[in-house]
Amino acid sequence: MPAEERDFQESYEQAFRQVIAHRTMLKAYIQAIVRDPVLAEDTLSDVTIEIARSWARYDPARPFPNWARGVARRVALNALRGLGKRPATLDPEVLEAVGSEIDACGGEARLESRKRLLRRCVAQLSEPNRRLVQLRYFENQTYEQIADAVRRSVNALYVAFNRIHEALSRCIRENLEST
Amino acid sequence: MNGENGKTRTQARLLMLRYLDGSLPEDGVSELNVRLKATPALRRDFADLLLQSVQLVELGQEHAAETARPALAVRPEAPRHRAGAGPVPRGPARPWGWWITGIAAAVLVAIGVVFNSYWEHAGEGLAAPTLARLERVEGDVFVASRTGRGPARADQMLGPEARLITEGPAATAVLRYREATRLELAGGGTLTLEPAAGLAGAPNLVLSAGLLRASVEAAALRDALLFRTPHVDVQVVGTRFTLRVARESTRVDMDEGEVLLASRHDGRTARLRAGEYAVAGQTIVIAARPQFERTPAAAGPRVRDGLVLLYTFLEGRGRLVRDVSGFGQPLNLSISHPSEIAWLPAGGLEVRGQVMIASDQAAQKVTDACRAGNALTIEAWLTPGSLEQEGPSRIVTISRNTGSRNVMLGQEADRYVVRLRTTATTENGTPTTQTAPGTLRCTLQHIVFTRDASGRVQYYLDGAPCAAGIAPEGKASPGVTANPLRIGGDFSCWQNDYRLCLANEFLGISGYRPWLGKLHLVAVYSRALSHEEVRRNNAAGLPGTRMAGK
Repeated sequence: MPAEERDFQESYEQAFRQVIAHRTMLKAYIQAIVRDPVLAEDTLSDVTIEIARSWARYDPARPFPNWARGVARRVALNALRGLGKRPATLDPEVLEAVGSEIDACGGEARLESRKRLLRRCVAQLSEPNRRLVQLRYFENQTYEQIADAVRRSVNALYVAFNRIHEALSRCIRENLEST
Repeated sequence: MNGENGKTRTQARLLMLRYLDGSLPEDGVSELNVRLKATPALRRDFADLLLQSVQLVELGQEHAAETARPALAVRPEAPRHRAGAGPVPRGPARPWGWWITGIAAAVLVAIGVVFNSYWEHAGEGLAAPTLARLERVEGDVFVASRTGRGPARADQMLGPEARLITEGPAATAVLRYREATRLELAGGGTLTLEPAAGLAGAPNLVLSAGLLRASVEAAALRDALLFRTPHVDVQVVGTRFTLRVARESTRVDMDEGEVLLASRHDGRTARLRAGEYAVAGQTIVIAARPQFERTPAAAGPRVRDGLVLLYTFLEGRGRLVRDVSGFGQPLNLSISHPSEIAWLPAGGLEVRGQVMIASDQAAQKVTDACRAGNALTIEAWLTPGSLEQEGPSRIVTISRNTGSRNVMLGQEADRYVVRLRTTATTENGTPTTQTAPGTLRCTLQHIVFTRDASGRVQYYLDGAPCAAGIAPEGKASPGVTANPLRIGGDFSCWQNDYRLCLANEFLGISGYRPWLGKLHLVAVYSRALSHEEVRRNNAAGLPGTRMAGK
C-alpha cells in the first residue's frame, strides 16, 4: 500500500476510534438539534464521515469532544436544511454547555453501564409506564399517536413522561451509587 | 437551584420534553434557552433527558434485534424515513468506506429488525379474538399462523390457531393465557392455541414439542383447562406443573395442586399430585411416581472435610432453616416472610417473593475459618426462578449491605457471579467474576465456586468445570486476572460482624436484591474443593434424595 494511502487510512481509523469513544455523547448532542431519533442516527453517520475528512484540521491539543460537537452541529443543521426544515433550535452556547454536562457523565464505557442500569430501571416501572416508554421510544410513536392509543390527552402524557424520566434518573443515580 | 423551585423546574422539564418532541413553538424555545443559560441544574436535567432518550431508543433497537434476528434475510428493505413522518421504519445505512463496513452492517441489522418489528405490529388488530398475550420473549421465538410466520415480541396478542415456537435451547417465551394462566415455553417448543377450546374434549393448548411450565390460577378459571401432547391429555384445575415432550414420551412434573392424566395411546388415566411425576408414551404405562426417591447414601457420601455451613432445606415447615454442618455453633437462618416461601414436598424451599432468609448472628465461624486458610468453596443445588434476575440478585451473601461484603454468590441474568472481598478487591468484592452467558438456566443446577489460597478461582456447573471471567463493570484491579482466573490478595480484610443471608441482600442505599427460585442445598467450605470432590458432591445429588426418572 502506498505511504500516502496508508497515512490516509490511519487518520480515518484514528478519527473513527475517537467517534466510537464518544458515540453516545455525540448522538445525544445531535438529538438535541434534530430532535428525531432516526435522523439523529443518520446524522451521526454523516458526522463520522465529516470528522474523518476533517481529521487533518483537528488540533490534538484541543479536547476532542468540543471540536467534534462543532462539526456535529454544522452537519446536523445541514441535515435539517436538506429536509427543508428550519426549526428553532437552542443557542450554540447552550448546546455546548449541555454537551459538557454529558461529558461529565463519563466516557463511553460509563455510559454503557448507565444504559444497562437504564434497562433494569425500565423493568421496574409500572406496567402502564413501561407501555408508554415502549410506544414512545421503542416504536417511535408521536405523542399524538400515543394519546390516541392510551386515551389520554397529550398534555397529560407530557406530565406522565416527565415523571417517568424523573423516576428513571433517580433509579440510575441510586444504582450508580451502590451496586 | 438558582431560583428554580420545584414547580418551575417541572415547567422547565415539560418545555424540554416539548422541545425534543419538536412541538415547542419559537417563543417556547427562547424561554428554554434563557432558563438553560441561567440554571446549571437544568442543563444537567436536560443532558440527563437527552441521554435517556437516546439510550431508550437503543434499548428498543437491541430488544428488536434480540427477538427478530432470524427473519432479517427475507424482509423487504425499508424506505428512507423523513423526520417527523410518524412511526419509523428504519432505512438502510449509507456506504461509509471499507473500514466501517462492520459497523454499517450492524446498523443495517438494527435498522432492518426495527422495521421488521414495526411491520409485524402494523398487521395487528385484524386478527381473530385474542386468547393470549406474550409477556416476554428471549432468543429465537416465533409466532406462526395461517398467514405466515414472524418473530414474536413482548406484548404481542395471539388469537386462535396461533402457534408459538421457541427455537434452540436459549429461547424462552412467557405467555399469559386467558389472564389466569401463565405459561413458559422453552427448549425447542411448539405450542398451539386451539380454536375449538371449550367444545367437549377439545384441548385448549397443544404442546407438540419442548418444555412447558404452567401456572394456573384456579380461582380465576371458569372451566378446567385441557393440555394435549402427542402422548397424553392433561386436565387441569388450578395448579403448577411442567410438561416435557420428547419424541417417544411426555413427562409431567407436579409442583402444586392436582391434574388428571389420560393416555392418548391406551386411555389409561392417572391422578397426579404435588411432588409426583408421570411419563406417558406408546409403550409406557402411565402411573404416578414420587419426583424424589429417598436413597440414603446411594451415591456415596458428600465431602465433609472443611465443611463449615450446610443447609439442606429438609425442614418441610416453619420459619427456621437449620445449619446441619455439625461445625461449631449452628448458624440457623430465620425466614422474614413465610408467606413468600413454600416448603417443597420432596425437600427444598421455594422463594416466591421478596424475603430475607438471614442469620440473627454474625457468620463469624465462617469468616474465621475461611480467613485462616484464605480459601473457600460455595456450593448450591438450586433452580433459578427466572432469567430476568439482575442486580446481581443474591443467592448467598455474607455482608452488611449492597456495598459491603465478605463474599456473595449471585445471579446476573443468565450468569452466576461471585463478589469476593480480599486485600486485592474492593469492600464490595469487585471486580466481579462471572460464568459465561447461558450458564445459568431455570432448571435444577449444581453450581460450585472455589478459590484456593493462591488466588486461583474455578466455577463448576453440574460437576464439571465451566468457563468464567471478569465482569467488565467496575474498577479493574491488578490482583484480579482473567487468564488464569485469579483473585489475588488475602481474606485479612473480612469483617467479623457480617451476617449471612440467602435469596436477598441486607438493605443498602439502593434497596434489596431479591432472588426467586428453589433452593435445595447451600454449603460453604473453608477450603477450595478439588474437581474430584466437586464431582463427588454432584454425584451425591440432593440431600438424602435423588431425582427420580432422570
